[in-house]
Amino acid sequence: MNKISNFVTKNIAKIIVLLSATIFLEFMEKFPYMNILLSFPYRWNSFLLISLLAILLFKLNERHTFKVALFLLGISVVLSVFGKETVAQSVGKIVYYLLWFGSIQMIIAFVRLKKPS
Amino acid sequence: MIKKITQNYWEVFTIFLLSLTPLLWLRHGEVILGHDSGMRLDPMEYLKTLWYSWDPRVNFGFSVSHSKGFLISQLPEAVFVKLTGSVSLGQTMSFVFWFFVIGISMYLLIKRFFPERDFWGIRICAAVFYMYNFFLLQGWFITERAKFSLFAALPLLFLICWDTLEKNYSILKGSILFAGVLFFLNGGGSPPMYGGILVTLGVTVVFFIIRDLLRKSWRGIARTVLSVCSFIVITALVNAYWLVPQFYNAFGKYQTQLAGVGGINGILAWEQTISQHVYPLNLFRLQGIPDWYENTNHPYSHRYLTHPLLIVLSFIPIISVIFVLLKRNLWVKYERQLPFLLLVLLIFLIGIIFSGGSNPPFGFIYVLFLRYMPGFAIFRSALYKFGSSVWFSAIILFSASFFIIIHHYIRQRVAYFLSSIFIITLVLFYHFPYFTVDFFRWSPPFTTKVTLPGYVKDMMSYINAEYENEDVRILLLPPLDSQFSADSYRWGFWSLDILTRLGTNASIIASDADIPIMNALFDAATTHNSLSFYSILKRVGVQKILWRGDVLYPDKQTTSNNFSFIRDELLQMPEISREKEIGDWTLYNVESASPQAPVRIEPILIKASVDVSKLESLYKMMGSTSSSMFLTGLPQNVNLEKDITPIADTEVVSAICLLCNLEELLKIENSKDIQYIRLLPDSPFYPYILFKERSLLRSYNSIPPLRIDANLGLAMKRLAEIRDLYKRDIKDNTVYLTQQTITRFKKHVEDAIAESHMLSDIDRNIYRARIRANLKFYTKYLSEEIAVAPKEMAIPLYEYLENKMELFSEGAIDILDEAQYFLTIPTDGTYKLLVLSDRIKPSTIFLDNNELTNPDSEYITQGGHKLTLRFAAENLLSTTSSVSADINLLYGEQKRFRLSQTLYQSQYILQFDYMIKGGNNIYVSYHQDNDVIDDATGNVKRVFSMRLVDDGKWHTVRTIIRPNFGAKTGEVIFFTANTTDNKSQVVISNMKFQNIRPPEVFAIKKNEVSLSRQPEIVYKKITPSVRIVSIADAREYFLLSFSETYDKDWEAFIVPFGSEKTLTKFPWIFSLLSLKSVDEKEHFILDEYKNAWRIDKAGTYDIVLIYRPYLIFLISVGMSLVAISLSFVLLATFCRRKGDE
Repeated sequence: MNKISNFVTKNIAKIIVLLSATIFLEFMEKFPYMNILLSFPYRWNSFLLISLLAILLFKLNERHTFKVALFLLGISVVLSVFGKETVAQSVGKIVYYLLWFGSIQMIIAFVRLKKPS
Repeated sequence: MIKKITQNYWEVFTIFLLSLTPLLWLRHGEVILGHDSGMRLDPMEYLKTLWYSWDPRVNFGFSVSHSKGFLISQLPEAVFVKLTGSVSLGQTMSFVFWFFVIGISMYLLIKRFFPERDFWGIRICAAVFYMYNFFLLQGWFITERAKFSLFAALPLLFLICWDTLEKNYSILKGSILFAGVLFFLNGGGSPPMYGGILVTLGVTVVFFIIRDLLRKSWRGIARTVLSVCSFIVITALVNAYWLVPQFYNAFGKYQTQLAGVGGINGILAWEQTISQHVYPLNLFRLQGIPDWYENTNHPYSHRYLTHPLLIVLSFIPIISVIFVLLKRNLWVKYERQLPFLLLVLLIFLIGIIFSGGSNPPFGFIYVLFLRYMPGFAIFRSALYKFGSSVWFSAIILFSASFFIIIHHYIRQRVAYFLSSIFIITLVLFYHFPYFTVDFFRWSPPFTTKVTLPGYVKDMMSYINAEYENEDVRILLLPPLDSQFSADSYRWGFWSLDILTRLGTNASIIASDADIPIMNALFDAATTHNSLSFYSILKRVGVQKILWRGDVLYPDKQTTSNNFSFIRDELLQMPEISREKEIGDWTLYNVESASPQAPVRIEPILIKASVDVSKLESLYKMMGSTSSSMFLTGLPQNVNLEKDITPIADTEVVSAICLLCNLEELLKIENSKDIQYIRLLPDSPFYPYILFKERSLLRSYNSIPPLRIDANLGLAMKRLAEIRDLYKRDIKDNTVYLTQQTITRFKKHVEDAIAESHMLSDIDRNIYRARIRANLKFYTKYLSEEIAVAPKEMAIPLYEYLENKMELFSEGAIDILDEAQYFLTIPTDGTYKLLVLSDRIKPSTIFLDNNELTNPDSEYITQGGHKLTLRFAAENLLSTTSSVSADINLLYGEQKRFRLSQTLYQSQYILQFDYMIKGGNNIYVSYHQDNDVIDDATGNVKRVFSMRLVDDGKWHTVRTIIRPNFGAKTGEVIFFTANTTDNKSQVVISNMKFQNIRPPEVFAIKKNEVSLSRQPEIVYKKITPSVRIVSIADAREYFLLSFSETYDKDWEAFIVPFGSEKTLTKFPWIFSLLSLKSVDEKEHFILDEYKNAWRIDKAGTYDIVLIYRPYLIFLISVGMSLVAISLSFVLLATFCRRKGDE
């Protein structure tokens, strides 16, 4: 409990920015044109933007991204076993995005690792 | 050293052992044949055909210049079949070869990056996974060698590319090795198959460029670019033998081919269907193959899609990859391999984008490429074209992840060994269909693994032995099915490649030759027209007929028996005799006094000014003449129209049918779709709608047909507005708005009628019928949909429509009893009017309203004429003109009305009035003996079936029926689905079943032609693509015809008499290039399929007929040989230098 409250206290500004961005994007989706922009080519655009923002704000490394990907992949296993194909495929798309994020973070980490200090 | 060899030896031996899997597949003489397999019973003979660029087996000949890549990719099976003398064994050995090549190429790649002894598991696992996966298994059912060869090439090309860009190889050495791999593993020379390689190597090159950019190594970037250019140039030179003919063939044809598949939108529509299951999640699991989800008969996919254990297993590889990725302590240890693995990860992620096609999330990238990148449209089924990049990268990542995990967590050697073996065995077990499922059986009973019946083999051997040195043309009967033009048999064979073409050297003429004269021949066969049948047989030079009694159509219902009348009637003609009968197959000989030679002089011609669509009918009627037909208006013939007039002893013009499209009119009358109305007349934006409509009508001011259509559409929209006005709550202004809308509706109708007066005679008649059909629909709509409107408004509108319809009925004909034509006569003269009809013959013919007493000889003046055919009443259900009946039905009972005769491939109308007196759920449907059973539901599909309206009122049914091809019987059946004990009762009256295909009418004029002396000719076939004709004592110009399929690349060279011996032999054949061929303006088409030239040279000489792509191929082979020789020399130099060092 303490850990969570410490985390919230430390990162309150970042959390507020993230929440505001989420609300803002949710609100913007209701407007003409913005709804198209936020759903083209794929209606998870808002999720992508928020994920990207979270990575930048909290300086998350690839391990966090891959952890979420692995968790979601686990969910899609369960969904697939129970025949919920459509939902599983949607979750699979998020996993795919996360793999992209994670790979880019990993490459950056690798380049940094190789750079002579 | 010995230890190293031994270590490598058992790994390679393991891969070889697993390559022997195909030994389980073909047993007891089974062979792979049919579908898209491209397998042949004598593959070596096919390679010869490929060499000559022209395949004479396919109807009247077919260009194979675009398939030169198969010379190498089909070489293994050709060699093995030749060596073993057995097709079955030869095929099996070639499959083992492909298995091994695929496995070993991946093994070599992994060994380059994981050479250490401990990593034997990664090497074997990757090789095994690369050999056993569903992407390849989908190809194995048709043994897709093109796919296998590029799948095998991919790891090697990646390896060479990596080592060259890493400077382990010099650019030249890398380029030679790269070209060498693609020489042997060329994907059958099919450019779209290279999609996966392009993505993989493209990402690799970009990866290296970015790396050099980060290092600021400009020289490195320049070297990478230079390497790529060198790869392309040397590969193009080494593979010139297939690339040059391919480019020559494709040059200028891209747009035509694109249009042939429906343009970009057509490709996108196809792509969306194909890729609808190619989601990232499916690709993570190495699934998503379209056939898995769409083919209800798929032999194994159902288990993988539903069994929980198999579902869980499919996720294990991707889970292990992500697990390794998130554990930094696992991958940082592999610093040396990390760039390689990172690159492979990127290939995997980018490969998913391309393989997913137009599917979200990144489908828009594929669509952008398709729309804006020239040539990208060749990759029209994304998964099959780019999928190899995903499977390649995924298999490397999966294998590496498994072993990185067990290497990290399992320290004990024995446990490590056992775990590795377990994983490899699991990969094999997971892909159990390779061992246990008959995956060749793609839609039972159709399969690609067949046992050829003895009589089929014997008949093919007989034909090959008897006619080895003769150009024999064999007609296949019964005709192929009309839907796919597939050749299929009850013993399992199914293919668009005709079976007899896969096993004999004769020209096989089948109904897949979509040319008018052949359509006429098969139509004559199926309509009992023996006279036309025999005449056309002679005309196209058919010497033999092969009757196959074991045919089973793809619908799985129609068999040879459906066409037994052809065998029992046509093939019993005195001019046709039985030559050989073996089992279900019988070879007939066509007795002919003067069989058509492949090359002949045309002394006289028939000049036809008719639409191509009517040629089929014309050939059926004109079959008895031996003169070839010259069709005016064709681009190939336009230069010679004047020249042939003096030798045309017959001129033909066709009449244009008016009001023939009953189907379209019925569609309008029975239309159900109604527009969705967004704005009603009281909307503030409604004036804008009216403004837009007025602008639209103004834009059609000078185009009456479009203005009529627009007015009719807008009138419909007004009715829909009235409907919606009464659907909502009634307001004060509803009545006023309705009146306004009715006024607008009438204005549109009046405008359409006024515009119809501005049309030509022909179009006016057509549009009058269309307006009448629309008026009928409006009336029906008014009574059914707008019944809520107040009577004081609806009744006047109803009367208005009735009046208009009455007006349009004046002079209107009943097209069931009468047919009207417009005939344009070019010159005054005596004409014979020929009428070809599937219906009963017309009882009377009127020309300009005067009854013709002698249609065989009528003097007709130049200009336009109206022709009317009148028919007696016809009803195929009974001898009476119509049927009326009271039908009482209990559940399970049927009332049948059987047709009095077998129907042709024609159009028929079924019409009747009915009223249901009692009961409900009464249906009427049309049953045929070969109605198809739906594989998915098990239900029989009927061409017509409907539920009758049970409201106690009279209704009318008018529907068009198109019988199944080959249907022997037809019945109109009434039945009830009411399961209660109560009787259902329906009264029907005026029931008729009539043929409505309009007859074709031609006017034929005979001309006096003075025949000049024609030169003597001697014809000799050197090869399929080189023929010689010796011309003796030509006095003036003459027409030379050559009865192989017209192709602008067939060229005629005039050479001195006796040049044959030298000019047609290699390398002298190239001297033809220095000669000028007969001008292409003098090269034209006769009978809509054969080549002809106008030769304007007197004297005695030879004419060499040569197929130009063959010459181009010979030159490109020379280029390849030079490039390969130079490559060998350079490679030898590299090796010697290395040895010296």
